[in-house]
Amino acid sequence: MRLRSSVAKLFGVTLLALPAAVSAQELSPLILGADATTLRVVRDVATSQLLEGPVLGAKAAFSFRRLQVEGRYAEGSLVPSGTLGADDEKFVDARVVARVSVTPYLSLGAGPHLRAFVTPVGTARWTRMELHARTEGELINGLARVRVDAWFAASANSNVQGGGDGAMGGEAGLLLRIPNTPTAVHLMYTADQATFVNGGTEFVEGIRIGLVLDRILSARRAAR
Amino acid sequence: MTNAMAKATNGVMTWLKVGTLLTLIMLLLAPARVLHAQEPVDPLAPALTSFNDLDYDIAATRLRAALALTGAQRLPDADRARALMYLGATENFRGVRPGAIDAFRSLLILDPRYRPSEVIFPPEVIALYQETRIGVRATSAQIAPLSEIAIPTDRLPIKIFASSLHDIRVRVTTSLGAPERILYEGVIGDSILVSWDGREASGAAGRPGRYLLRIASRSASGSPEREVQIPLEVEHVPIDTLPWPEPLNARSLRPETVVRANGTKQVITGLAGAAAVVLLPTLVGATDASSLRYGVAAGISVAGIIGLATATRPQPVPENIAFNNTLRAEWTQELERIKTENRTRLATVRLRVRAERAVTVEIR
Repeated sequence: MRLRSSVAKLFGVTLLALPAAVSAQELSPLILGADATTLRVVRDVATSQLLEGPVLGAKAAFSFRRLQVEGRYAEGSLVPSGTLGADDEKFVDARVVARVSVTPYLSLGAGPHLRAFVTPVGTARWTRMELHARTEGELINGLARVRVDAWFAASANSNVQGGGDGAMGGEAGLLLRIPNTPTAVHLMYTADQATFVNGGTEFVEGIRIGLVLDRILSARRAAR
Repeated sequence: MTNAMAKATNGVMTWLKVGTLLTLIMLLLAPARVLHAQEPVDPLAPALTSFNDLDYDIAATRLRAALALTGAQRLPDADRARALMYLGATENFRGVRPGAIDAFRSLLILDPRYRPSEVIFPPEVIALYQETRIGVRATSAQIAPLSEIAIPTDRLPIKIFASSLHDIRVRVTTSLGAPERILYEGVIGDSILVSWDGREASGAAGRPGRYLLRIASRSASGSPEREVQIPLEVEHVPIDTLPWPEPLNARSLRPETVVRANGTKQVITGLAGAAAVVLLPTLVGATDASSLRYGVAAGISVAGIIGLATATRPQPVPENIAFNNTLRAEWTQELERIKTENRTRLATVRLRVRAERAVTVEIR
């Protein structure tokens, strides 16, 4: 019940942002990007556990008319913080989202999301099918935009803690265009909360800085 | 008594009516008589009457008298030519051959193209005229009394007629001391067409002033015999240049920038984005989120504030800029066209040439 209520709140936030979206989301034919995330994982199962560490990622997106397919892969090493004797964990995250622009300022999508925490004793895996909603709005004409992305796991499976019960998350941040270049810098805050069947939770948050090559934005700038 | 008075009154009335009628008829006829009286009188009529009456002595005397008229009474060239022809024929009939030849020679100098009527004059007169014509080297020129020529494109046409085959030399001289400009030097048969390009011998455009078109007829030995001189009054016609196109103004140009927003949307977007970042952990149900996200929220807020400040700045309108650029390019193109046209016009000298009456001068 709490999860469903949160879903409503999450999409409410996305919808709240819509009136402020001043320009259409423009889909570039090809987007390539690389990013670095300072990740923080708070796992509250039998005991509370905190892991932190850098995660490097890459993404690619292909667009055709109003349809976009985006794939992202990230990997890093997380170090336990404040827990004696705990091992480091390798974090692997892969996601594919197929989106369609339903309005000039809103796109909806869906896709699989795989996540794994690899430890010396075993690997904890998450397999989800997520629904996504994304909106963007312009802050500084041609230079800065804000993006809010929310997702909800329609199905969430895990091989630990009795299995997955649900997951949802979102990210929001700035897209800063570097003038006269085909690149943009993304500064995003991401948060994701997963719930296990046994009542435990796993919260993943991070600050991500990425560099994105965006052809269509480059063309728009050149035209100006 | 009463009857007698009545008869007398009727008689007077009848005479009055007749008188009035006659007066009206005379008034109606009077203009016709006046018009008839104003018809031009042929000045050669008395001489020609004598000629037709075969009274050649009197005809010769009258013709010479007519030819001797000067001033306002001077015969027009056409009448002079006719008088000379009749004089030549008269002298021929009188048996004074030198006088006939002299008259024909004068006629040919006056009008080298003159051809006597074979209906009026007998073959022996025509034969003597043709014989004289062969020996006379004279020319006349036909030139428009007023013409305009643009240098370097136009030329002033001059048609020259000759009495017989001989050498001529056509030149333009000036009283300003410039060297003469030779237009033609060579043989003329019946006629030739020469032209003057309005330039002096140096190649420079003719200057305002008086020029002299001189057509010299030369003998078989090459020495000049007589010369037809036509004074030419030359003046420069002012050249009009095209005005430059009206400069582009605000009415013809579209605004290239526009203030698209008042910043409200940027503020709302920034607040919504910052709120999303701050509230995201709470919305997903997390209770122990870090404070890292506040940095991102602050960044969004700052961008929103900058957006508010810059939203009121005029933003370029690409389609209007393109439209104006096209307009400016067309204006510049038109300006260049007019400049080129004006350069061409300024490089052109336009002469107005007024030809005066030709004068024939005997050289020897």
